[in-house]
Amino acid sequence: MKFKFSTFFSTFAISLATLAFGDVHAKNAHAKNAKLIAKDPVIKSFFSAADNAPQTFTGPESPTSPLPSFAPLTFTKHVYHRGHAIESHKDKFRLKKGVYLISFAGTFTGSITDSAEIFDIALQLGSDVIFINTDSADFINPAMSSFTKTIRVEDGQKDLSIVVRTQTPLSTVTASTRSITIEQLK
Amino acid sequence: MKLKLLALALGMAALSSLLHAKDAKALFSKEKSETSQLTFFSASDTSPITLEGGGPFTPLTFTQFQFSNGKGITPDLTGSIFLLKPGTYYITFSGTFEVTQPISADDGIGASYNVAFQLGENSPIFINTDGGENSASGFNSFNMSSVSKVIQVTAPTTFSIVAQDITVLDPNTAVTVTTRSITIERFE
Repeated sequence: MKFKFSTFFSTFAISLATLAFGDVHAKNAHAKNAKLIAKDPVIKSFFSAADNAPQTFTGPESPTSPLPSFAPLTFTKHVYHRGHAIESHKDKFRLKKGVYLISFAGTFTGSITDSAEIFDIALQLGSDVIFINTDSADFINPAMSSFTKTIRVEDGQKDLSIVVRTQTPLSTVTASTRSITIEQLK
Repeated sequence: MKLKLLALALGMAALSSLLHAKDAKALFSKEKSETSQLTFFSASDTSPITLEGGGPFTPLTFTQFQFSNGKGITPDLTGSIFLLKPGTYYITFSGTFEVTQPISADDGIGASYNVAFQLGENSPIFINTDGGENSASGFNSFNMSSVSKVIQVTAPTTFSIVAQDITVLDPNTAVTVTTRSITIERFE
């Protein structure tokens, strides 16, 4: 077989072009699909984090004083995050339009030994405090409080926090180990 | 001949890349299709339900903020019974339970209660027990109780979250359920 430089060159060029086109096409398909997934609100996002830095919530100054405001819990450790629907800001989670399953668990300890402190745990969505649950704990018997709740963000985006307040006057409740998981259902 | 073989090999490599791209696309489509079919139901309630000592299991209602996606989970008009099609479901429930009777130490120490799942007409399953003390004691009269469990349903079946006050030492007890929520997620 005679060697022809032109034949070799054209064969090499065609093969290289085919290979390059295939490779670029594959990369484009990956990028395009990754972009689609990133934009597609149907693809689930989730966020999970924990914390154990103590946070203390003080009750009313006297039995006749109004209840204190709800204050947010922080979740800064062991952060796992997937998707683009949930943005974390230490004690606030910015949620895009969708439906989310929120799971929370935490340990709460009261400050006094001869009675229990009553405290509320709730969700704050935007400026609304919703799903107010109540639990009680004392210094000897801490409470492991947990809940799950599905919420819907209808328009734009909203900030979500887990918030706590102490109801019992002249006492405090301290949150220690805690975790949150936010799973996008829709 | 060598050139033809080289061209053939390079061509095969390029074809393999194209197929790989198609596989990736098919995989993404499959993932998207699977998540698109997620079926769930969620609701909550705050209307108080009082469970009296020694009473029967009572279904808890969930009539507020009901929303769902997909088919297979249908609540009845009372918001306490859910018709489930055959499948596997992940159920999560949480609620606040307050010991409302006895109100003083003279009447009793406190109350215990069960939270369970009821499938069809069968006896309740997955019975969990919690308890609290009378409100005058100054101790734990409030409890947040949560459960989660996967159940499998092989034929259309009704499902309820049920609770009862099981205090046996003092029948004049009562436990009141206030804030509560349920989420039912269908896996398959």
